[in-house]
Amino acid sequence: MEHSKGFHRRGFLASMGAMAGVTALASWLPLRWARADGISRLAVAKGEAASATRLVLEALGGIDAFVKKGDVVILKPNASFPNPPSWGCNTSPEVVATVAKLCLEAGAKRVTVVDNTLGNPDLCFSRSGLKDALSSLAQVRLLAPKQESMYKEVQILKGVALRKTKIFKEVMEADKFINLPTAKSHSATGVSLGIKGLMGLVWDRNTFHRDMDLDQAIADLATVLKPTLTILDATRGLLTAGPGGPGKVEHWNTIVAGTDPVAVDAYGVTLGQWYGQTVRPEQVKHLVAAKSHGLGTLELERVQILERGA
Amino acid sequence: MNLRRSLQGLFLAFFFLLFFTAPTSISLFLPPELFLRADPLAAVVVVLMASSVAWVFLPAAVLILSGLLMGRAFCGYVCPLGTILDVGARLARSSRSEPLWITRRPALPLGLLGLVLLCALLGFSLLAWFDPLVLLTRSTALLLQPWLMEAGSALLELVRPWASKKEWFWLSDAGLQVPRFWLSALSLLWMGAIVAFSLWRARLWCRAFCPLGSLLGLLGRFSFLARSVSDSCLDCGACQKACPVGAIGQDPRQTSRARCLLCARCKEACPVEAIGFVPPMRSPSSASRENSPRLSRRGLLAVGAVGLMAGLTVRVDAGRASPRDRLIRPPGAVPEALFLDRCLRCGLCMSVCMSHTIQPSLWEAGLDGIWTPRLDLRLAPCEKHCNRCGLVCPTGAIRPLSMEERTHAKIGTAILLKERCLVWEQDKTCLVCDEICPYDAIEFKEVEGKRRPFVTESRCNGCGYCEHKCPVQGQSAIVVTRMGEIRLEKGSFLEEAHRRGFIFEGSREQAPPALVPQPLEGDLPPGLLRP
Repeated sequence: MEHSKGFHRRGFLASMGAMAGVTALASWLPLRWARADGISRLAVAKGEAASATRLVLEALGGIDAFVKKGDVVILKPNASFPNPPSWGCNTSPEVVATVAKLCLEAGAKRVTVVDNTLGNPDLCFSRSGLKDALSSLAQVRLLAPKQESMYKEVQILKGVALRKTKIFKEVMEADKFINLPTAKSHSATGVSLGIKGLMGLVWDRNTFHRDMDLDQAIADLATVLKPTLTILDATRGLLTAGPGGPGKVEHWNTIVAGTDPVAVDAYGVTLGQWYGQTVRPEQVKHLVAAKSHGLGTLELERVQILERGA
Repeated sequence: MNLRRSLQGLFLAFFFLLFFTAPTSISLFLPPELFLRADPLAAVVVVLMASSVAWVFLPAAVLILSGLLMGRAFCGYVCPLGTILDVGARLARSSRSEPLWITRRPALPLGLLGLVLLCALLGFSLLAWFDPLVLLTRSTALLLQPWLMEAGSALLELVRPWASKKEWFWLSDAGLQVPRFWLSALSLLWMGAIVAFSLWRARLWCRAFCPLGSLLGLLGRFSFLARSVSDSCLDCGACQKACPVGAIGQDPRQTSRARCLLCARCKEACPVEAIGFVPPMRSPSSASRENSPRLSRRGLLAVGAVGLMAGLTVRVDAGRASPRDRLIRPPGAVPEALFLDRCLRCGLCMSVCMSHTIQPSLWEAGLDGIWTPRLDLRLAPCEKHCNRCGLVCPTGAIRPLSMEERTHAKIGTAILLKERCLVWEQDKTCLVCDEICPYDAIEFKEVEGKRRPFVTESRCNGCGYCEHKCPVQGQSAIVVTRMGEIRLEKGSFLEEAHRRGFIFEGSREQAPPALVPQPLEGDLPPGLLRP
């Protein structure tokens, strides 16, 4: 080996070490800094549901950046309606199955797919295609928690409208919580994306509609339910007649993912014409309230967007 | 364990097996309603009231034949209620003697049978009160099943923390749906009285009241097998003591075939083997040993008077002429008058209902509508993708429908009570009825610059998801009434729905494009701020 001037083994090792350190820092610091300097990072992938889901996660550094060996993981898709995937009111079964599979490959000890469905759980899970899609994954557990004992009361210290509510116990105890919403319109909140979807982990939803400002309550809930990652299934967009459909469905073949739940939703808002109108993220009341809680960035121009796929 | 008890146990197990597998997808080759369709009393009553469904009672031919051949052997060997009363009597060490007022009135069950048949002729089904198989089926549905589920749920709650620690999720995630029923107390009182009565004196219901037993005993007067006593009888009285139903008279050679269950306990008790069960013509003792009760003229008059009064009272009951507006029958129910004729009040539909919205009626359908199925949609909705009630109905009071037909069997129409509605009255952003409606029958329209929910009658199926989920406490702000219900004795619900202009196809993709909602002119969807 030829020794050039000033190149010593010690120096080489030191610089290699430094580089490794910097690389390691670089790989996790952006996630830490994201909040600090207001720069959030989003990944957006195009393509068929399963492959776009893989692409979007690769862009964020792979599932290993989020799920560690031995983790207990909760996945929260939309599965509230006993309607077929083509209606766009539930998360695509392919997306849920792909994420579940990746979590297991990353060494997750257990993956629980959970939604407190609005309709009859058996019908919702079978007609949404979720049951079939997950049936081959032995370590994946599909659950509609319909027993009150599966919830525990949580105080919401920052809550403006919602001060306490019963939340699915295991999500508070899990190592990782991945929100898997679908992109749809909603006749009370305008749109229903990741943050709105968190209501599916609550025992009593009626009180949200009846006793308080719904948009504020949703944002309040988000202060205690913080997903590790939000993966928005925008393969289809249900643009009218949400949340249950059937309404106007567009095929966007898009998956959006990020650690900033507000930014993911903000991006989701820009994907289509909701009720035939162009809607800006800062028009969505519950997202504005979430931003005021300091939960993330609503201004997409301040978000770094990594695009993947066709 | 002798043959009789083994058979009793087997048939009881078979009864419960059929009952409890009915709501599941475990498909048995035999229908869950088999016992009811084999019931000759139900057959006679329903055919008297609605002759068109005679064919469903084909299995009853077996029991009629058995009655002709062996009298009340069914009661001694098969009847699940009889078995339960036997077990109860054993556990409670009930006395076999009977009170004098019963001994003195041997024709009581005959009179009751006459009453049931006379009332049936007048259009009043008494099966709900007196048929043992109907009673037991309904008690299992309304009492036993909820009790078991409640106990099971409590047990699950106990083991849940432990199972979850062990990561036995099949156990920790399990939940039992505990059905809750109106009228539980009344059901318990009536069935409880029958059971208590028979614990006091063994099989008292069977010997002194049961009209089905009475019918079989009547057929048994010509039966092929009968108890006979040979001349070696010592007149020791052992057989009289052993008989569980008091079928042996003062003279031990006398047998009441109206009561004899052919259980042969007398034969076992006889010290000299004088007793046999043989065809009467081969009987060593003479035919005059037969001791069957007859209805006296006075008894006949009493039955006629009571039956006439009961039957006429039901006919002049305003409840029947003008059923309550909120009386919602299960999807596929035949027209109301025919429905009341056919319905056994057996509770099978209530037991298998996926959401347990099917509840027993009290007065909603008139005096004789007690225990007929009605939907309590505030309690639970009627599932769009479920047709179980019609599939188990023994008599076609609720028709067995394909899923597509069932979707078109409209059961009512929702009416929005604006003065209670959170949106109309309080300007809240509630959309629960719209969100949950499986038929997409709720539309928001602009009224004086504000978005307000409306029911689209032509799409509303009456399923009651809106009424059930409405977050207003107490009375829902949207209620389903009978308006627009489709009740057909025969023919297609789908065709009828189309004829009346209803559109229930689930998917907008199949519906005419005009129905796809367009954004309101200049309207800002709720939840959004002005740009």
